[in-house]
Amino acid sequence: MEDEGTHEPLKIAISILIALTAVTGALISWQASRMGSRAASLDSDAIRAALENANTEMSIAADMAANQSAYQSYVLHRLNADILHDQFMNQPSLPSTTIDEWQREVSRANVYRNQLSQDYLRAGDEGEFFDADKFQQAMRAEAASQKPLDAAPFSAQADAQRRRLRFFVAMSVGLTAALFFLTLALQLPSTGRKIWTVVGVLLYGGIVLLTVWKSFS
Amino acid sequence: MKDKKFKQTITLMVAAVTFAGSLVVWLNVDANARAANSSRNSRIRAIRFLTHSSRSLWKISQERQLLVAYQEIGALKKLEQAYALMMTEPEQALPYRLAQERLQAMGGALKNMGKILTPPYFLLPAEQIDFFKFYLDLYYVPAMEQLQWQELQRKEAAFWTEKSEKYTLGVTILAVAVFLLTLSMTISGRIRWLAAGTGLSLVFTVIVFCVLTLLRSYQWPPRDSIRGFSLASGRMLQALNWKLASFFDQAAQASDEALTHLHRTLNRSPDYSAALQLRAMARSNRGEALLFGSGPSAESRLELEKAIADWQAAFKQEKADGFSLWNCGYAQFLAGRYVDACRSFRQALVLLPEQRFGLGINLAVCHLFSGQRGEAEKWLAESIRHAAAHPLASDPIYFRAAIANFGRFRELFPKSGIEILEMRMKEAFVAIAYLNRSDPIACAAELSPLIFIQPQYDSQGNVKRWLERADFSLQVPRVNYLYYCRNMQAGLQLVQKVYWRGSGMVLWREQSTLAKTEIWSGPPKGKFGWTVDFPLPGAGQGLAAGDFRVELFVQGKLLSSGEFRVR
Repeated sequence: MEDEGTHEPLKIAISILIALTAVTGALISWQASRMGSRAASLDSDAIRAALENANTEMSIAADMAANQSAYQSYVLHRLNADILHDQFMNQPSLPSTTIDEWQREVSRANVYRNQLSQDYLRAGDEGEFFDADKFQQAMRAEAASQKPLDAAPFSAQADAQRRRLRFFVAMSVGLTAALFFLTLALQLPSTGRKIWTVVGVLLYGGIVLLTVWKSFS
Repeated sequence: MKDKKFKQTITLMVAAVTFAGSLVVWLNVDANARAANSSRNSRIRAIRFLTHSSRSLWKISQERQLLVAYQEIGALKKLEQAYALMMTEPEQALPYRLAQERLQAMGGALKNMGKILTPPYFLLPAEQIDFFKFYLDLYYVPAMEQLQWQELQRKEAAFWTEKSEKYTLGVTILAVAVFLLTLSMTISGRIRWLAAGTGLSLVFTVIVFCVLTLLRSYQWPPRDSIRGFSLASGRMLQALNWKLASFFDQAAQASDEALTHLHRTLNRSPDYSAALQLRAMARSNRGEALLFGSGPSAESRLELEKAIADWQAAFKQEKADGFSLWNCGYAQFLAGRYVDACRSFRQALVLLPEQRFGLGINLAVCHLFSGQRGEAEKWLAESIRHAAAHPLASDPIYFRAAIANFGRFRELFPKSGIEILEMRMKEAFVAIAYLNRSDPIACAAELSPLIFIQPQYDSQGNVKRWLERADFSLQVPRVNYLYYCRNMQAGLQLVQKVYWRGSGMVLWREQSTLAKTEIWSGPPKGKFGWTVDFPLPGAGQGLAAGDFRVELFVQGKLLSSGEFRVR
């Protein structure tokens, strides 16, 4: 009876600490829940970026195919026209229809040349060539300037959020341990009570400090 | 005093259980987070797979266009060369030679525009083009790799989700335990001990359950194994292609190459279930290729037994899906285990009711070979009815493959009675395609066997007479034949189907471009003629070397057939 009366203030303090631990635990859980939501939102962003990238790549592939096809036809008609011209010059016996054919081939070559994305038609050692790599790079750069195309940064951020989430939930586990020690202190007589109160308080303080540090790091 | 002690102990226990519960919650959160990461990564992989597919298929179509242009130029070059040779005066030949020069230069220019006209896809000096290798390298193998990564990531997500569900169950049971422990503090007597004891038992059970769950981990196969799996998938597709083209030696060789990749992969990662299933498929393919190519042998039987063993091992690792059961059943059927095969096909049918056409055919053959002819006919009729009622459930490729396989079974196992099923399949194929029904329409028409004939010309180029014969020279553009008929009526549908078996080929392949149809408008009886024509006679080509079989169907009923050879 005497013992209980002597330690009444400590018991009240322990009860207050228990309540405080529960409130802190609730706050940490709230933070953890927000992190979970943020991670889910980042997952969606990552998937959206992957879809945008898919859309861009498919458009580039279709444009590339159109350009390559036009380039192929352009090269063939141009080459045919050039050789026809040379043949006509070197073989005067050839019929005059050869020059008509040459003109038709030049016209065809011109039609296909106009179909090409002109910026990427470059002069090389062996004549003109269509710079497919530059064309694709430019198309990708243009698309990337309007929307994110890379899922990796979003995925990395989501992973980081989930690592923090795990840490915060681990802190909640620590708080339940503190809760256990404080409950133990409440049940024990004087000396044991003080020891377990100190353990509980130290654990609680450590967790609060760690959580605050992690929140701002 | 005793009561106070009890309550103190229970209070401490409740606190301890709360701590244990929060640990389980942490494990649950961890499992959930991992499941979410894997699920997201799996979706991103799926999108990458589609991106890769779309990009590479565009690229392939572009390269195909290049190839067609190159081949067109090659054909024109040959034509110009032929014209030049026909000219007697050099001046007359000059325009053709110059055209040849231009085409030569154009062909050369095309070679720089894509990969398909470069080694290893373009092989000199014969200018042989391996477009299939190009398809495998550019599209199929990388696509399989992406798909495999996606599948493994999906499995990882499912693994962690399952763990998370188990932890949730653990937490729920712990909550019940806390309730029982708290209840024991408010009641007295024996029931108090019962509540406390039950609560503690539940806590103990949950702890054991959660520890066991925690100890299970997800094993990712190494990157090399995934690569090996993808390469093996490519070789398997090649084997399938050879099999469809009826080149069984090459099919067995490609299956062998797939097996080399898979043995290596499974040595590295014995728990890689997808690789084990693929090895079962590769063994089954090899066994089938050996059986179809050279007939029953100890080697083919052994390979098929190994395939069955692999399937059984795979089913222990992972729950069997419908297609795996189907494939396992096919290996069992080829190995002569008809009862097991029927069981596998039936189990597959439960999981894949929409595959009643294909599985029904397998069940029909399986029952026939096990001596249950009535059951066999019942299953075939059921299968054909399903195909007629569900156009998406069957396709010409499957029909043709089944008919070709039936033909081979008839040769390998002559006494089996398979010819009835083969004929029924052929008639169903014609009836569904031309009459929009599952079976032929009854009619009294009768046709004689086909008589193949060749014209003999006089010096004016007119047909002098027709000679009956079964051999024709290579590149013949047209083969004529005669038949006698009676009881024909106007409006009856006549269909000609032609099958071809080239040198070294085992299966008869239907030649869809040589098929013909007409509505009968002639007299009821008499002698009539029809032809097997190369579709483009002016191209300077004709029928390929090999054996040809012609079949005539009236109202979907197979009434006549005949064979000839092009040497």
